[in-house]
Amino acid sequence: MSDAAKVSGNAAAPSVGTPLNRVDGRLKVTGGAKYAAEFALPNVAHAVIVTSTIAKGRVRRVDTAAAERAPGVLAVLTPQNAPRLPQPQAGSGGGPVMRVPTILQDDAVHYNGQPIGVVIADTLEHATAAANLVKAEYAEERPELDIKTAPHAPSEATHPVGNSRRHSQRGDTAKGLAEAEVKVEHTYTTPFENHNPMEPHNTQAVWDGDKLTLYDSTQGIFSVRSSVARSFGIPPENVRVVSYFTGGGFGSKGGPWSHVYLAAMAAKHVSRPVRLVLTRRQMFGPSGGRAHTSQQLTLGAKKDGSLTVVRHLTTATTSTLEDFLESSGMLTRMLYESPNIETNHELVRMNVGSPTFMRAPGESTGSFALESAMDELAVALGMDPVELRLKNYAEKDPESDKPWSSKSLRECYRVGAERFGWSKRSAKPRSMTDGRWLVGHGMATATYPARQTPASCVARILPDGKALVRAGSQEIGCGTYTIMAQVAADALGLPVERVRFELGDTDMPPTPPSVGSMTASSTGPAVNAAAVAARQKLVQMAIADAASPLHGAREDDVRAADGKLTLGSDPSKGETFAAVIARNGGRPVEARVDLKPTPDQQQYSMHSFGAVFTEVRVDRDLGLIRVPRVVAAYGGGKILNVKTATSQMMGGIVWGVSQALLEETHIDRRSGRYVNSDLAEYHVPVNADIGSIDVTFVPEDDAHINPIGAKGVGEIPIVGVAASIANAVYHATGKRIRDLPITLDKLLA
Amino acid sequence: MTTPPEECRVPEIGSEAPDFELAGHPGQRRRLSELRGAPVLLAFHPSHWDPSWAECVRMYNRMLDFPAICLDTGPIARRYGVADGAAVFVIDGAGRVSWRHTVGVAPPSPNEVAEALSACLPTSVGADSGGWSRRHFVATVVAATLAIALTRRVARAEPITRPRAATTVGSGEAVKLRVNGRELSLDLEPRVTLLDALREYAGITGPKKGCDHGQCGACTVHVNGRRILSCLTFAVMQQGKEITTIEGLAASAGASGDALHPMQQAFIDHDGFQCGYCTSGQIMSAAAMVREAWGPADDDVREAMSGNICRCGAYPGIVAAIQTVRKNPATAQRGQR
Amino acid sequence: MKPFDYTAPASLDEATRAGARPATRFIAGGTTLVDLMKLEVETPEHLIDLNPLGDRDPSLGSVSELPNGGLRIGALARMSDVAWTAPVKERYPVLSQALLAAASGQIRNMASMAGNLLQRTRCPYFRDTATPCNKRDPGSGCSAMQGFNRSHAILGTSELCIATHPSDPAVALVALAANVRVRGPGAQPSAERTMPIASLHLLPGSHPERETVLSPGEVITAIELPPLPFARRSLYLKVRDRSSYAFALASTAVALDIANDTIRDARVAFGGIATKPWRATAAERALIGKRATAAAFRAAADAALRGAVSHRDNAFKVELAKRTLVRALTEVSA
Repeated sequence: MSDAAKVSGNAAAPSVGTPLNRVDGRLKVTGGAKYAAEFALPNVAHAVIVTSTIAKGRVRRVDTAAAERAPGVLAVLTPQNAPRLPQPQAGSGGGPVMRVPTILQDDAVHYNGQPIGVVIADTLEHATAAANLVKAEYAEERPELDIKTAPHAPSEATHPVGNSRRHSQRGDTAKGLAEAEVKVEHTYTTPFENHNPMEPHNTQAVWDGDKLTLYDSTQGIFSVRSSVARSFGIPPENVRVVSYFTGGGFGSKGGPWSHVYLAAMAAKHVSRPVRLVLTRRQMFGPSGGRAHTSQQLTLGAKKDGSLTVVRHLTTATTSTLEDFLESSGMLTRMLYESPNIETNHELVRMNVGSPTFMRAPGESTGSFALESAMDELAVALGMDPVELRLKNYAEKDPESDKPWSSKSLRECYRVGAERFGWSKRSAKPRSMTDGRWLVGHGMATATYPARQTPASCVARILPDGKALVRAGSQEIGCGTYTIMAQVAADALGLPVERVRFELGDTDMPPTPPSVGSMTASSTGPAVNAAAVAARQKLVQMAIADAASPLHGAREDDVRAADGKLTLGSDPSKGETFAAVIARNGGRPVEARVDLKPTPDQQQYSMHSFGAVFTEVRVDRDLGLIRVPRVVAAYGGGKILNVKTATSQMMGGIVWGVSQALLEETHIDRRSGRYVNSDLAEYHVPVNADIGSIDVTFVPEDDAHINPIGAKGVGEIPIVGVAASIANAVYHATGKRIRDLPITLDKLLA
Repeated sequence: MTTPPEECRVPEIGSEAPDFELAGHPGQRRRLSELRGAPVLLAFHPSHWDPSWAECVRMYNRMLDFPAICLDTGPIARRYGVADGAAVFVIDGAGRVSWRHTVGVAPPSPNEVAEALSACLPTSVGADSGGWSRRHFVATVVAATLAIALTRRVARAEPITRPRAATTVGSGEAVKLRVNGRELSLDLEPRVTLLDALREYAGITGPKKGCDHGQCGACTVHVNGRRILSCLTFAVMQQGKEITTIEGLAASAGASGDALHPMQQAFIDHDGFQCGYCTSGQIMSAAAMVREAWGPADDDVREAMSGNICRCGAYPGIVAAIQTVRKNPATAQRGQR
Repeated sequence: MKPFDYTAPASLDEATRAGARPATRFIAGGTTLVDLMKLEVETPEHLIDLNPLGDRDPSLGSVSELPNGGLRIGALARMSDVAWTAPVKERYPVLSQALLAAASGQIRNMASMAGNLLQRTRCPYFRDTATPCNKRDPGSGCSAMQGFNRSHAILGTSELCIATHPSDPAVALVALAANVRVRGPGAQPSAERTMPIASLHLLPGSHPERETVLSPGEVITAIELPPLPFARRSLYLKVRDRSSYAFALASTAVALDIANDTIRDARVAFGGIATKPWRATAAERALIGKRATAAAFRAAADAALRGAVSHRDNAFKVELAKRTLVRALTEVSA
């Protein structure tokens, strides 16, 4: 791209970086934003899933007679009668790990709560009531429900993102241990969790001959399209997926789960559109969750704090359906400098629902262990926790030896510590109190990979001087509609109010799913490139037009701003976009771009970094834990919209507080049944749980991540928060809790 | 074509539909009156952007056998008495307005539109495949410009039927609900919750189903001005009361046109939402909570609003929005678009 | 949800008679019943809406003074209305606090006072028709005792059931020794009775499916608070896993009559730890006559929890309940 093209069209008053209110805000506050189940399809039928009541075995027989006789029932599908799909296992979880849905193709039961049938009826009430009439008989086997005894996955289970190995070795662990003057070694455990977005998974499916339209609540319309097309043996072009708004995903909606296929299957079977909405109970098991981990973390250091050895051994759980790995050790490979760093991951298969990506998969669980251990090391050394981090600051990536594309971590520590008042902390545990409250201050490092993946976009300058920009992305609450409009507006040279960005339809150019914090850093550059290309076309049109004041000008002398083209060398000469178009055919000026990362990115290691500081208060008698204050600073490259990005960070920090203190999925150890499968007993924070959250973005220029310098910040804010809270709890109470969540009963003991 | 300077009133049912010219593809200038002989669907797209309108019109076109004209609001809309909102008119074969939908945030469901169109057919022709002529029509959606393309489309073979709640014990009676100032008469069994009555039967999808068990607050609506959970009550028990959903909140507070309620504007300004799914429940809860006897502190607001879960974690923005409204009633009353 | 027919009778007489039929339930706020009907834990064939009765007879839904200086709370009065009512806040703050600690603003606007007393346990196995439960399905077994029982009871349990009673206001009412007025079908004098609230709820014993002494067709018409001047010095303390909108791990309602540094009278009740709202008379006896000191509070707590039976996941509740009581007594005597 030429230098002229890179320059923002709105250089004087860019929209990018401003705290623009969300462009979809009005829709969301008026009830006008339509989510998948809210499209009023004509003649729609309602489907309700039936789930298993055992954890392992086979469905011997399903008695559907009463259900079929029930009022309004159109059909009942079970493994006994469900149509056989050409490629049922063709689901994709991203990367080499294939998601395996349970869509009535065989009689195997893998977990308690697995879909084993679907009832289709004319009303939701009829379908729900009939589903309760379906009774299954099983050949039951003893389920694997204990991480300590469950069988190990023997094959090389690959990391879900990229192709990292389970085991990594830098240097010599034994040597590092021998050289250590101080050592800490502990086991840290994190529980099963479930994403629980506010909008339960749901799909509407409508067939038109051999063409299928899916209105889906998803983070990945193209993942849904390719997986469903493959499973049904139809060309991807025959499947259209629509998703204008998704009510939260957090990783659970990156690709289709069983209900999507079942909705399509049901719609085909009854020749009517079908609406299938999971109940909240069905959000535990059939739509993903986070694996349970047990992590052994060993740190050895010299007395000056320099790490001689880091060893991070993880055992994570998966289902018996697929080998998905919660890769807790990944960040340990790159976060701190040490000559000897070893990580390993073991995977055990249990009769529970399949785990999947859940906000910062790997980093959120791994950082709890690593950053707690670092704090324990700091205590053992008598060293300030921030100083210990700085002592082991990695100037380049220890795993690959590559230089960082950008890293502002030192500044994050400095800004965060200053805003928090870290210097006021007295290091001794239980030394800070406030009446019945023990006060603790803790901190942790945060990091998350940044990446650009291929994305396409089409930008169209319209005859009335407005612009329409389209890319098949998703809006899950990150502000995609808004930031892409801002990026496009600046690149086009238009006020953002005159730019509309549309997403959510596989008819649009493809982009990656809204996962892995990579929408801003992948779709953003594509939007920018398409807008620049459209602007260039318009400029060329004007230059070639004898009637234009810009006729014959040099391309790099033409400025675009506020919907006008003017000469940089003589700003009095110019005309509006609309005027140019009107004289030249009156049709939209359009450009499409298919953008790929450049090869030189391979030379760099690309991550976001941050530092988080928390204050906790623990009731000295009752063990109640409150987090009144979190202060965090992040280097996330170019922040496209500081209002929406700040909200992202606060949201992720809330997730961190939740991970630290509240969330745990309880599975009955005998039957494998999900016990707290509702929002009353699966605790996510309520408003009263959250105090003040102070977020700063340190200025950071990254010239390598992509042409717009944006890194993506959706997941880094959960990283490190649980450790900083655990560290603060230790500081407050003198008790070190290594098992999440930190509930009051663990402090009473 | 000149535009009358004054605003016109919405045409009454049975009156002649105001004629207008359509500037479409080159060489294809049509007047509405030239399309007489068959019903026409005329939809005015609100200037406030909404991607679902495009999809709804696409749906109408897939299932309907008649031209669907979709226009941005502007001079033609004003002749139909449509200032800036959304509106759909069905114009019968004789050029008369036979049905209209001019209230509410959401477009009418395809079923409603289909029924209105079916009613325009000559009585000798039933709503079955034989009576519908096999014409090709596809209407394309227009986003920002006044344009129309009439192309041909395959007629649907199957009739459109609205699912009816079958009669079981004690069911099948009309339940009369007064929602956002309108009387709705819905064919509901007693076991239909107020939430499902609104979402599944009345097409009012602002209130959301997050858990269906009163554990998340996403379904919060007002009944006689109080905030309640619509998933935990039966529609049949809410007859004779004033029910307000997010769609009717601004109007219920006296806002005119499509001005926002101060709480809605505050949520936008303070970014009190991300994915938006809990938002209608949050705002309905907040708008009612300010009338309850809570203390003035942020902590009071947090406690008062703890019945509305936000998994995106937008709590700080939510508290800031509510406190803004509580502390500045004067400026808050003005509301904004 | 199974289908049912719905009626709104015109009189209490009609309602109680209709309510005596099999497979019939009354509905007021609906916050418990609709929830359980969706789970098919409750499957009435006939639903009787009591709310219109409150429209006809406002005393059923309001708070009024009693001639003896106490307070009468209509059965249909909403939890939120009662919580914010001045005489309740001033004279019986423990009840106001217990109400405001319960559920959420929206639920409190819907839920009736009497309905709250009759709400059912939150035990996940009770709420899951796929798991055995002696309370829901007598004789089928108890899934909680060998299962996940962190929220379950340590007082009042039996061999058949350890489910916790979840109400907060009931704990305050038990501490205040409220009376419950009940009306049954028929016009005879025996159709109306009054009982101390402590008698309303049953221990699970050998019939965990029977939770109250109410017979089919009986409705609570009012809750009467006796005059209790020292109840002005009362409070409700609820300890739970998150700051709000969660059931109690342990809670306590306390009232102290202190004069000249000495406790003349005391009321103590627990929630979150027992199979019914738990009046702790042993704790009260241990407090009366003592000075209001930490030692006395701790001794009372020990007395209150004597005989507690815990299981694998709820053993922490024994100590937690004691500390909760000590904290509440400390705060209320300050």
